[in-house]
Amino acid sequence: MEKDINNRDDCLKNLIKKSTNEKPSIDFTEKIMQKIEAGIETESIENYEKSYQKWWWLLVVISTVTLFSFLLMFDWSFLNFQIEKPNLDQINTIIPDIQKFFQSVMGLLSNLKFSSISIIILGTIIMLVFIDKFIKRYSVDKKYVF
Amino acid sequence: MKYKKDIYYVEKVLNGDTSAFAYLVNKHKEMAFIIANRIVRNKEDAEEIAQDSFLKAYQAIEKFKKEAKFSTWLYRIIYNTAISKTRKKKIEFSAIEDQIINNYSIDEIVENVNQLSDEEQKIQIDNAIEKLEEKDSLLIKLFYLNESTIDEISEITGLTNSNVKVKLHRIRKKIYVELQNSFQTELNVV
Repeated sequence: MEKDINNRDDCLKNLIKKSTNEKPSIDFTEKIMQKIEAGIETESIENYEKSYQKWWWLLVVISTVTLFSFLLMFDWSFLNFQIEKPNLDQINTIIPDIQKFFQSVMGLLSNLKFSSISIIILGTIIMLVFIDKFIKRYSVDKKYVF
Repeated sequence: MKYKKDIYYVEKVLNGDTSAFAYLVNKHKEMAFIIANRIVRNKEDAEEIAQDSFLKAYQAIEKFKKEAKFSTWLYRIIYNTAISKTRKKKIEFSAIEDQIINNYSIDEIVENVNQLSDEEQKIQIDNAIEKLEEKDSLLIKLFYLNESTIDEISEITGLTNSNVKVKLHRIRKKIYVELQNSFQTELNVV
């Protein structure tokens, strides 16, 4: 009895194996591997951009703070220049034209007075944005592996 | 082409060798396509589902528990993807009732089928399988074509072991009924 059932089952199995004409397309594997490769490439560029931006901003902030600290705190008298230890009032006198320029451009905010520190910060930010764009233009199309 | 065990390629992928995944795709693509096609009954959709499932498997390969079979894990992903993407359209097929094969013994049916040419047999069995419900045709393909065990089918489909056994028994009967009906029709035509 058991043998009969097995024989019938073998018959059905053979029939089903014969019948199979369900096959995926010839380039099935290639399509999948292309998608995987594309995914990896995008991921590496995204990772690069994230890490690059993080390090770049950190470096720029530290450099800027260090530079201004150096300029403001250092005793320049040994150079025999007329420059005395700079202070915020001096900077205010150096850049009145810039102040006027900003005030004229921003007519609506003409009553608002910019302190020297505000102008320095604003200038630094604009400069960083431009540097960032400049560096990205030459680096984003390359493949980076970290 | 001779393949190594799945776990060999899985380990390679986990160690960063992406190209090893191509071996897994090549090895399992036919069954993957059959599973999807059995559920959605449309070759374009089946191909898309099978590809999506391989990508899902690649992305989740770190979650694959190595004590299980990779193929079972993959087929489960394909089955779930296919089920979730199946449009709820009513497929019109001539439902085979649970007929009792009183008039003919299974041996007679097998004998009749064996009289047919290979090409005729292929057509008859294709017709019989196409008339089954989606999940039933998948079960029969997994059991006879992929030679999956009851446990594996149960894991792929989420059915209990006893449910799989009962279903397989009923599907076999349905196929035999349909084969006999086709045979009778051919005789009448002749």
